[in-house]
Amino acid sequence: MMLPPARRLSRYVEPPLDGKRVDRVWAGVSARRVFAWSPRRAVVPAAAAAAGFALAAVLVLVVRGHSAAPATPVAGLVVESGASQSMTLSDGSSAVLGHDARLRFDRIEPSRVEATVERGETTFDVHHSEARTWTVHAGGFDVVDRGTRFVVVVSDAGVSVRVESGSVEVVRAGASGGGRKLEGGESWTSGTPPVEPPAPSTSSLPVAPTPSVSVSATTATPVPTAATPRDLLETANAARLAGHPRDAAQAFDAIRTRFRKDARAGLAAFELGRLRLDALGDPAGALAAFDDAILLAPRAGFREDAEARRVEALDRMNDARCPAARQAFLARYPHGVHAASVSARCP
Amino acid sequence: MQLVSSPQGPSDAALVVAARAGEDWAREAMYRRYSGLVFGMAYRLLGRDHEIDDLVQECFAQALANLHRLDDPQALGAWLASLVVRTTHKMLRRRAVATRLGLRRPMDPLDADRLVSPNAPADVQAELRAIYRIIEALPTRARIALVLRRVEGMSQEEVAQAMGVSLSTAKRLLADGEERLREALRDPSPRSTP
Repeated sequence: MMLPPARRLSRYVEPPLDGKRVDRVWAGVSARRVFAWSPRRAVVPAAAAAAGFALAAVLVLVVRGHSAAPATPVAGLVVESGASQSMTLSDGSSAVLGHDARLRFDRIEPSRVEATVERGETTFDVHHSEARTWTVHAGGFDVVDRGTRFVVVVSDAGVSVRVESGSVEVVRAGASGGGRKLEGGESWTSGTPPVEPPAPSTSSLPVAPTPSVSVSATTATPVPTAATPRDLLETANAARLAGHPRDAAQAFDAIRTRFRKDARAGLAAFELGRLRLDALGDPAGALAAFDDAILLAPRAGFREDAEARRVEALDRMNDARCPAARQAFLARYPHGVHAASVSARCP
Repeated sequence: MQLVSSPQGPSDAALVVAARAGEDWAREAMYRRYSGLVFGMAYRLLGRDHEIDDLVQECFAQALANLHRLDDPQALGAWLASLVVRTTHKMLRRRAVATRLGLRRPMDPLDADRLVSPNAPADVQAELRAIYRIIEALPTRARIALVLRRVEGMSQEEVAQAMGVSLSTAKRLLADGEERLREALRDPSPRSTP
């Protein structure tokens, strides 16, 4: 028998894909941050720099709803993220909001930018210019940028600042000086008076990424108690890709239980649920993890996925709550990407 | 507020230059421009929806970490496709080894009803169903070669390039897979599934 000639049939085998799923995976990619930061300010060739400026000019074509190059002063622009969002100004400075963060630009002017981190984690990458100052307000403190990349987190525990490169000065709101200067690699939390000399970080925030740890093929490897959320995320991803779901689950579980205020906790709970359901045959554990994911990140981009997987877990458990959960899901997401599969659950 | 791809936006080469220079927006724009391609290829190569998010995440993490290795920035799409192929290959091989060693339970058969669009013409449905009936039993490289050729519609040369093998190796892998496909099309009953 002759085979028909090979032709492109891919359009007949397409995954169910919507914006939320794309956002959620991007949140995972962003959270990993394994990609190295190139020494932009030091060695980028002139051509690349020129391309960067040219790109900034056309950014308006790529960014929907962003004010890419405000010619007139802007005030009160609020950026709120689901999974993750970014905003880039015309000078190339950017703010990347972590999961469920809220950032307000109080002022964007040629001579100064002022922004307020209202909640969550925001990473700023500021192009230094003598002509323009950057100040980030966060929970009663001001972070005055000196041309750098830094992360500001506002949570119930207070304010945290971590400098990845360059330097910032942290002062009490409204003060004109006398604050603490932080250099690359240093961090500070509001539990420490800002006027004291810099001290080693006591924050639970992630620091520089460390290499992924190797994982056992047969049993779960204990998670180091000193690991940061970023370490744990890397460990989890490495283990999952290496085919060790139990190790991956343990690392995700550690993120959501040890770092519940971390922006990645909800995502970690969701990934834990997926692993328990798909790879570990533990629908009851998956259900608990999905519930936790929804609790930790009620407005996350993966909420719909988490609720759909929750129904699947109940179905796998033959749980009497399944029909009600299915109906609730279909009422909430009648045209969602999972509507068809969820409607077939718990017949 | 979302980044969206625009046909009038920066070229791939410009995105690569900006991403290499550390521009977050360029990384995200690159992801969004190619997420459909990567999700789609991952789905067709793996044949299971619930596994592709991990694969896609890994592909883009690798891509962003290795952008400096991309010689021709304008060839970003082809480079990403080859990354999907390599990452899928690794995942399938690890899974096969783990299953052989009893460290992982065997996967359920692929569900062609869910994979193949009901809108596909009858002959296309038959071919795609046959492909997804046999690929789980094929050696990993033959499986990938078959999907690239018969589903993605790549030429033999493109298959070789995407897989990083010689043309003769690609032809041999394809011959194995296509022989099995011929048998499956001759006998479309589930019994032909090994």
